This record gives sequence, structure tokens and C-alpha cells, in this order.
Amino acid sequence: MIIDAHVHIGKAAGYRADADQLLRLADRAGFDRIVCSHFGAMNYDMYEGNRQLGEAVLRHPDRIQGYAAITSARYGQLAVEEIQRCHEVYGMRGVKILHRVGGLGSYGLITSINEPFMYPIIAKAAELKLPVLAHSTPEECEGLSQVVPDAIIIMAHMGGCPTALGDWHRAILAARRYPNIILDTASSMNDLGYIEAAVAAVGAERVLFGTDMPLLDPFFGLAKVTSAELSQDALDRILAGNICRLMSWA
Amino acid sequence: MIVDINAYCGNWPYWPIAHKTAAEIVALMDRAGIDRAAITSTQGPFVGSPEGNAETAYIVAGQPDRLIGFATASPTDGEAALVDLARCHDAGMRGLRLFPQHHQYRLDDDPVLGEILATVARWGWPVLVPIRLIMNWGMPGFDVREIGNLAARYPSIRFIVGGVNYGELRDALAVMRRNPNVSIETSCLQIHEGVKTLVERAGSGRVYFGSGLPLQYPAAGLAKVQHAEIDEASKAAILGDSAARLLALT
Repeated sequence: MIIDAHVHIGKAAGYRADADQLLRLADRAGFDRIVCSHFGAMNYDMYEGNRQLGEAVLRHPDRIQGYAAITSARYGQLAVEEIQRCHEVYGMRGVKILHRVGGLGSYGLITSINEPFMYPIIAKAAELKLPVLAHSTPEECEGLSQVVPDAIIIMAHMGGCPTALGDWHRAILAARRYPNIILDTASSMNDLGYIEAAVAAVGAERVLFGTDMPLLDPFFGLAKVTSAELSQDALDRILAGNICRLMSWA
Repeated sequence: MIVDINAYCGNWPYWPIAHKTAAEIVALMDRAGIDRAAITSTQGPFVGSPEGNAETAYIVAGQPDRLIGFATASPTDGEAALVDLARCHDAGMRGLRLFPQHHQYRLDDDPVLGEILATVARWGWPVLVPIRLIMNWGMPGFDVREIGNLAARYPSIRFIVGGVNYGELRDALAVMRRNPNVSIETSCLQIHEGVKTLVERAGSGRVYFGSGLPLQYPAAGLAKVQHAEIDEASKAAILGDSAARLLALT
């Protein structure tokens, strides 16, 4: 079984995909299931975006799971309540958070995921046992882990984003320091050996397959994992077993 | 025949790599199913062109049926660059790569760069200009539009834009639209449907497969071409036919 644990639904600049389009793409790529967050929920209106994702989850419960996204931690208690609502109403089993940058490819942070506004939201995720997919730097994940050690933090892109400067070494160090940090393979990054290095450092049970489709090419994302020098057991965990465990998804 | 237009050899200053000798590089190619690869030593951008070219020649000599040498040259070396280039030509190299972001010059009206380009134009060499070495956000880069300005001044040279990903694709297509002597390679193009977009907008004859091996997972680079929704003739052109013609490979 293959589960893509980092997928986006909805519309963003230059990208658009609804549930049916994503499932067709998943079928082409050989993915059995996908875990989505909604572009609109992240970037504009968490209520409307999460509602659209929730409908997709309810319509395709065997194939689509959801990360309830929050537009900004500065929504405070409203964001806490939105996570709870998405979990209860739609059965979403994850949370998506991101730091804000100045624009595409920007290296400068406008907001961090590691700030006090975020802590009650992550505490709620931990209480509900929902893993948190965090588009962030390794240092932000470390900071969040210190404050909410019970939360499961999936470090989106494993350092493979502009703000983390593509530094997967720092990502691996963070995951070694904090056992609640999981490393996500979704990224443009394609450095030969980095997936093997992550597995060697923290174990295959803490590396998670994702592609970032429909932004990035799912065939590319899959091939870098399947062509890595890993045991079949490690591959099985990365490609499906880990997200099933983290989301209690049979 | 699958031909990789953008491979490397040599040391990697950022982290240890596993494939350095000619035999190790060819073993990696074999595992991915790549028949021939155009290589340039990383000493070129990180140490100096003469040192890099000597290493490229040495590695190619170890596997002359599989590896093709691409020289590098920098106007910062002055007239000595031309002497070294002549050595590369005598050694059987078949193309040039420029690394202005590493050699610290710009692709504007530099008189020595003009002499370098006039020289390789006489030999019919293609000129590959990677805006980044690999698709890692920590790599230095530069504006792809600079290549367009250069290509307009040397219409007889086949320029190949390298290292483009989603952030630069529109600019790269604009450069290609204005300059019929500009092509592109795929080593960093991880955007969903990137290859399909290139074929639709520029034509498959102007797209070359590049992997960035041994610095990147070559199978991932191949997958995005092999699974692109384009016809088989276009795939064949991108994966090797066009490069074989360009480099007069038999």
C-alpha cells in the first residue's frame, strides 16, 4: 500500500485540484490513499477551506484523510475550536500549520509556528492525538516540541524549503533530539542519500512519504523514495505504515 | 539510448557523497538505466576551471564509452581560460558549462566571456548554464533572464538553461520564446506537469533530460520524464535522441 501523506486540495496561485482530480492523479501514480490539506484553509479562509476538504473526506473515507488547517495561529481560540470541529464533524485526523514568508521562494519569516499564539492549538492537537504537519524550519519544530512535547510534529519537507535552506542535516539533528518529530519526504529536494541518512538517524518509523502534489510531480516524489537504498520493511513503513499508525487509520 | 545532459563528478563540499570514481558513477547510471552522461567536475565551480577540467578529463578517461566531458571556463581567469579550453577540446570534450554565481561574474558584456563563447561557437559546442547546481534551497543561484540576454548576442550557440524549478519556469519559458537557440534541461524541474508544460510551450526538441547525478537521485529525475503525459516520440527525444544528435553520440 502507498499513502501520500502530503497533498493539497483546492486552489492556489497556479495550482488547482479537486478531490476527483487528485484521486485520478493518485491512481496514475499508484497511490492507494492521500492525506490532504486545503490551500484555501491555509492561505485565506480556514472555515471554507476545511469545509471543502471535509466534504471530500466524507465522500471518499477509504481514500482521503484530512489535515485541518488553520490560516493563522493568531485566530487563537477560534483556531483551537476549528481543529476540534474538523475532527468531530469530518473525522479529520491531522492538523496543518505553516509559517508565513514574504512570497514564493522567500527566505524571510513573517510569522513563526513557534510562537505563543500557536501553543494552545498544538496542545489541542496533542489532546486529540492528531499529528501536526508543520511547514517550518527544524528550529521551529524543536521549539514547538519543547513547549508541547506530547504533540506529534511532522516536519514538512525535512528542511527542503527556502526558509530552512534545504538543510536536511539540521532537520535530522532536530528529529534526533526530539522523538516526537517525524520527517516528511515531500520536497523539490532530491539530494542523493538524504532519505537513507534520515532513516539511519531516526529509524524508518519516523520518516513519512509525501509528494506535495499537485504542486510537485508525484512520480518524482515516489521515485526518490523507492530508489533509495532501503529495506522492504523500511519502505513499507515510510510509504504507508507510519501514517496509518500516526492517524490510527486501518 | 538514455543520455543525461547534466551530471557531475568530483567532491561535494557540503556533505560526503558516495559516487566519485568513474566506476562508481557508471554503476549509479547502470542502476538507473542511463546509458551516457555528460559530466563536469564540481572542482570547476568550487576551486577553479583548470582544476575542474583536469578532473573531468581524468574521470571521462576511466569510462570513455559512457561519459562525455563538459568543460567549464570563467572570464575571471582572463586569457588563460582560452588556453585551458583548447586543452579541453583536444581532450575530446563536447560542451561548456558556465557557473557565474560561483565564479562571481555576470553574464553581461564581459570581453573575455565573449572570447570564450566565440571559441566554443567555432567548435559547435552547446553551452549549459545551470542557475543552481542541484535542487537544494541552499544553493546559490541567479536570474534565468540573464541567459536570455546572452543567448540573444550569440545566436549560433545552443544554450541550455539548467536548474530551473517552479519559481523560474515562467521566466525560462519567456527566455526560450524570445530565443530559439535556448533549450532547457530537467534536473531540478520538480513541478507537477513541468515536462508536459515544456513540451507544449517549447517543443520536445528543446528539452533535455538531466539528472544531476551523483548529487541527486537519478531515478527520480527519470521518473518525471518517463511518466509525463506526452507522446512516446517526445519522451524519446527528451531522454536521449536530441542529446545524442547534439553531442554527435554514436
